[in-house]
Amino acid sequence: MAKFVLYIQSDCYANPVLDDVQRFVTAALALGHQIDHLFFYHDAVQVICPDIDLPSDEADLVGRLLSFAAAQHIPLLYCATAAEKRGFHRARPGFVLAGLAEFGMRVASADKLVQF
Amino acid sequence: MASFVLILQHSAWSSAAAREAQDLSLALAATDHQVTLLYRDAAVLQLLPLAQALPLKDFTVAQKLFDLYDVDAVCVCQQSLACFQLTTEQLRIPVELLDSSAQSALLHQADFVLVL
Repeated sequence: MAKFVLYIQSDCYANPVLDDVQRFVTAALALGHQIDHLFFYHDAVQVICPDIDLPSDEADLVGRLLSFAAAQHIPLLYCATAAEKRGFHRARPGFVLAGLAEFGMRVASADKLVQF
Repeated sequence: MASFVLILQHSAWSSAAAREAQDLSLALAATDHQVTLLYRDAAVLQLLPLAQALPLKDFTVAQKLFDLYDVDAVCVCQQSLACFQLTTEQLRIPVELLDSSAQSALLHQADFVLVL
């Protein structure tokens, strides 16, 4: 059994990365692995934005991930500086503000780091 | 402590990627990880001092802090540097030039690799 950290930097609204992440986490948990946390950086911090109004024919992958992560007790961390630089000062409930140093400290105990 | 190789591939001013990659490098080094930077493709241009000032903060000057933060090594893809007809003497800080087989060996030795 391995402890995974998932590092996400892709634009979560421009491609299906959150679906990839959720399928990866589901498979890893099914095999008995542990997911320590997900860390959102670069353009991926847009996931925290509470003001995005999706058209009714688009899936709310962020909402789906939030429910899934809460049920599995997986922390969803995001880089505060990257978010502030993009003007995101409020986060959707479920996302937890973190710094790069916190990511650095937490990743020290990981066996595997997977980038999306 | 883990050994990281961070592969940088974007020029300094094409997006926030280069600045945020550098921030992550310093944060990982500050949290006692062994960090090796590998500048590839247009990222080699980040190492060139600006010929004239830009009307925005030049984050690239903080490359001088790599030593202070105990960044383990700053490496540059030999082929990328040649593509831009540059030499190591033109770069802001001392670097190690790596050919493709040396880069491959570097990646095999790392605990974690991120492409930024």
